[in-house]
Amino acid sequence: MNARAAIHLNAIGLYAVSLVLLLGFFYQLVRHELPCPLCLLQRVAFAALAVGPILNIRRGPRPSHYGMSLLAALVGVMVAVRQVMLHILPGNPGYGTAVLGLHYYTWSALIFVFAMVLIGLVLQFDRQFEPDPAAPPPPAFARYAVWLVILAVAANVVATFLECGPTLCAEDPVRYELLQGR
Amino acid sequence: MDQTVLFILFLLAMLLAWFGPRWSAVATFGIALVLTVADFLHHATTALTLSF
Repeated sequence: MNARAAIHLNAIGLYAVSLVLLLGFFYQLVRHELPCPLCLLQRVAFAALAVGPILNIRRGPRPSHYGMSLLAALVGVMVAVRQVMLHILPGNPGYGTAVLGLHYYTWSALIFVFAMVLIGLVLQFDRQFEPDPAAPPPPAFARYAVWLVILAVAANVVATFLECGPTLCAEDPVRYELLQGR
Repeated sequence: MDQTVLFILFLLAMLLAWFGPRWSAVATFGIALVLTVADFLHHATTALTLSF
């Protein structure tokens, strides 16, 4: 796998992160399920996961960029597993609606682990790290992926501020603090 | 509020990754990640009832 193929793979990763963040928004806006602090932290970890691929696309693939994504995935899996443990006892209804039989945080844990495995596999292809002075600028497919994920994270900034306001988020939020007051 | 700040920091890291010097994106990412762990530890206070 050369650098150009790796950049396409990184772009696909960014589309996947955007999809996860947008699905979270779907449940938040359409089904009115407000994310709890741990849910928000998982979204934050998804945003963190996207920084490495953006660097790979803009400046060329480097092992250190993949390392950043590995660290982000590690933090994400830590938060998600913590929430899985909170709801693991039999009879516990869990938090939010289940998607295809699993709750959002369970999917998060699986996706973060999958991302770690994928990054470990992609790191095996050393040719992507060879310097290429004639490397073309990032293709449109990759540029769109970068701006989509940036927009998704910017939307989360607004939504989280509306939900929590200038104070700590409620543990079990039921309303947008900034829109409806306390 | 804490998560809003974290989102802003990672958004900044993304914009720096695209427009700014590489080191600034990496530094912002590092600071934001450490703060994320700190925020997680702040929220992870409920005792887990895992005795089966």
